[in-house]
Amino acid sequence: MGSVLRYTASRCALSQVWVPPWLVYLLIVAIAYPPNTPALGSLSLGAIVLLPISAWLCLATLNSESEQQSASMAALAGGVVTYRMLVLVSALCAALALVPFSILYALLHNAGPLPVGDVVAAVLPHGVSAAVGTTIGALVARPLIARVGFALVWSCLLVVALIAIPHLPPVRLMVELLESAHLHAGDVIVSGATTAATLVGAAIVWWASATFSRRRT
Amino acid sequence: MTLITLHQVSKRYGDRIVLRPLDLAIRGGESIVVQGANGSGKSTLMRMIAGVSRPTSGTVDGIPERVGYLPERFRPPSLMRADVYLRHVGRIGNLNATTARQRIDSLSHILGIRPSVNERLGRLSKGNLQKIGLAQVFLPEHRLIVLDEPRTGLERAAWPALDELISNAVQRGAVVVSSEHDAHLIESAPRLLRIAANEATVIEQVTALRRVEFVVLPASEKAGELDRMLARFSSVTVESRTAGRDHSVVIWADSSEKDALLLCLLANGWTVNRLRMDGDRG
Repeated sequence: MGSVLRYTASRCALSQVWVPPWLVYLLIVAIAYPPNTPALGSLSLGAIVLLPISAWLCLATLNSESEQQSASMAALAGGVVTYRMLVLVSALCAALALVPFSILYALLHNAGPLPVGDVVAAVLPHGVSAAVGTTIGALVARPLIARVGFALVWSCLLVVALIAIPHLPPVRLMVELLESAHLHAGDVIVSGATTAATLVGAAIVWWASATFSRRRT
Repeated sequence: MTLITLHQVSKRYGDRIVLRPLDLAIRGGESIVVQGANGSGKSTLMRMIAGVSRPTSGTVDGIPERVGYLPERFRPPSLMRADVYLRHVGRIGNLNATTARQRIDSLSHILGIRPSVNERLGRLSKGNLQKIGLAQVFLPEHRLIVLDEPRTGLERAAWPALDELISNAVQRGAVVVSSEHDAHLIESAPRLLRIAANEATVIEQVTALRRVEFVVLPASEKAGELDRMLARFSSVTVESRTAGRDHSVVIWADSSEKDALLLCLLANGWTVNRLRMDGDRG
């Protein structure tokens, strides 16, 4: 497992396909986090922005490898489904690598201390955003959608829908919970359950998309 | 023992039929050559045997967990160094670092990768890139190796090295499936899968169909040596032929042994007067 993650990270580092989405995210965080306001407000923005960024990272990771090369590595790594799942895990890791920056910047930039509970509460929506964004990328990448233009349109539509519809789980719901000033016990349970359900759902969609991609090739 | 079994395997993309239903069983330690024109469905079949593409109907059974697969167009990350790439391949193929390094050195030497394996993949010539692709396939010891046009861009001088790698893999019980265009390789293949009009036909023992006739000068002083000399050739049959005052020795052999037999005859001082493929005009 680790060997495929290492290979994918090495390949993406050399071709620098992760650099643009990382830079855009860091720029947004640097510009848009309002100074001297509660950190949780900034972090909810960070979690929302991570959704399209992680979809971008995933799309870049999958589409930067040619179909032939991907097939060759998949045969070596134990099959198309296994290989694609591991590449998706690599893309998720690339998205999660941004979370510490978001939290650290909010901590430095905003007024007042940030309790550990709030940090944990902020990590969960970031993680959910990264997982959902990666799932969107998995659905719109080649060979499921061959043309980048269509992939862009579909990912934008999905991202906007997930952010704009009030109370829609998982991303919007998690962000709303984060924005509420004080988390109640019920909110914590909802937050934890939503995160767990998102991870399970994402894994199922990843597996389905990987299986379908094998059929398409 | 049968390793790979294809049962009524077919492939279509939308309405376009790429491969009609095919049944095939491949035994461990067997090499099979796939022949067909461009666009006949060879690569699709190879991908299904390698397990990276799913048949539209039918099943492919017995595919090992890890397969050595060289695609028709080998496109590794161009900015990565060849040795780094092969080390990644070794790790993914479950080789430890020391074994991987030794195998990389050995394969670089056998295949003649020039100027060195430390170059970036994007800077390598087409032939050397193909050699890296072959090294990638033969780095771990796979039970199934699928080579889609492995000689594309490969210099002739490197062909024997590839043949040796294939032969070694077959000897240790692996299945090797390769697509070839070279007439000699096709006719000398022990088993041929010919694809025409999206329909695959299995031809068993191709070599038995193509025998070669050697007409050699009578060398009476060496006549006693002939049987001993030919003992190591399994497919050889010998007959004497007399026409009037002319006397000749006619040797028949499978085409797979013709090069070795010719070398042996010449090396032992025999003169080959005529050489004819079965079915040729003379």
